[in-house]
Amino acid sequence: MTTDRRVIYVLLAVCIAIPLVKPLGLPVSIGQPTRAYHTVIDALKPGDTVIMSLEVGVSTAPDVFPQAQAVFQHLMDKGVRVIIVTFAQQGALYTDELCLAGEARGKKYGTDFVALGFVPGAETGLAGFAADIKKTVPVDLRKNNTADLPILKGITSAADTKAYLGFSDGVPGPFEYVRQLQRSGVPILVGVVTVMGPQTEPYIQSGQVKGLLTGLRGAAEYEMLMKKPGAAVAGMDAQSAGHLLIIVFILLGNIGFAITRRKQPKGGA
Amino acid sequence: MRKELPLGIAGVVGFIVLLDYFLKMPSLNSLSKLLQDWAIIVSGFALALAAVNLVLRHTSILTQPQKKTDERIYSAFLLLGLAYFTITGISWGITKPPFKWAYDNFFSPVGAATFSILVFFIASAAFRTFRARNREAIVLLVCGVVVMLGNAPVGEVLWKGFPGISAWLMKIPNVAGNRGVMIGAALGSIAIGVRTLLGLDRAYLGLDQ
Repeated sequence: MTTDRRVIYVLLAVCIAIPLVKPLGLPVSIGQPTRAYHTVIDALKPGDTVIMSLEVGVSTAPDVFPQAQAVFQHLMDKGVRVIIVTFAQQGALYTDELCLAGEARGKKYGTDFVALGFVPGAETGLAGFAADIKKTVPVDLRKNNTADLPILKGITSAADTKAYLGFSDGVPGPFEYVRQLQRSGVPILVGVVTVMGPQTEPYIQSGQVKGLLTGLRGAAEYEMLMKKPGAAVAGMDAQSAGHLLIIVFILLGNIGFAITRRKQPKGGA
Repeated sequence: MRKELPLGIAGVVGFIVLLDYFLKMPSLNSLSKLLQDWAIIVSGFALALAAVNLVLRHTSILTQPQKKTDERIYSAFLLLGLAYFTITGISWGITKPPFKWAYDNFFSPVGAATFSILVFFIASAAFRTFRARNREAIVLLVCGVVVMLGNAPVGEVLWKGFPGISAWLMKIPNVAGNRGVMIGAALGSIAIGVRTLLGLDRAYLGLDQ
């Protein structure tokens, strides 16, 4: 018996939409990589400077950008200064979104945070940026000279900062961050799309990456740790419904497969 | 000379940047930094070249009478969007309303929706093809289901053990497999890198090896 795919599509759409309209309030437990991430950020002091790079695009922003928003909120609450940059073509406007969020919280552009815009060249751009920030980016996203910005006084390279927070959907990603930033000694914290989580785990165990946020779940866990549940936590109910439905589909498909196989004559006629 | 000059440049530049990683010599380090800055500039021009190529390709579609009408409509729409974002981005800046409005209200929702369509195809594919045909498939199926339930909050509601088993699967078997793949890929990268520096690998020039 074959099933029309549209039945599957409609069921999935309904299952995902219902929790978005009427949240279920399912509990979100916290994983160890997210706790490690939060611990590193929590240990930062007011006035410390970190670098945040957003390698996201429009297609993956719903998975990764909530992580960056939650972490940025935490950094602003702690009075940590944030240098925001992107090595992805579509990332520049997401850096501006964070700046607008910072200004809405009463923070000052150029002093508490700065957006340096897009640096081309992927890993090569990252290497150049990590070696000399102001020389690689002489003008920021709002057309200010980076040499005149208070936040960059005394900051020449990534080694002069307290942490590097990379949010990635591909390249550059965790591998590139580790390759180019490891020798500077700056602690590396990574947020990735869900499918990149398994590939990044080895770097957690080796200690090269100090903390990991994976997908929307990572953002939801971080919001719970901050005791400020937001959009990510709200999305987890829909994700739960979607996952459960896909598992039901898999089970039904295998039950049908088992029944069909039993009905076939042995010997392969 | 057509082959030797670019190979020579690639080899010399590659060795300078490679030695910069291992040696602390101010003259070498600053030369390497200069070369990396040049690479960033070249990357920027590569993006511009891609845009020019896109314009030429779709303009030729528009001007070819044998192309179907819907192909020409899509090409016209692409060129219109390209022109709009280029003109508004250069004239007003990407953070100002003309660019940002179109980005937030057209480009961003369409991009997110396009990626979101994948979930329907994944669900349909899971229903039709994720079959326990043999022992390996059963192991894959069980691990996949456990990790999915460990990742979604509903899993913990169904049984408190799912997150723990999922975390164990990610930390032990997954890391073991990924480490092997990464080490293999790293050894392969070293081999390709050495071949490129020595001029033995010429694929990047469009030449046969």
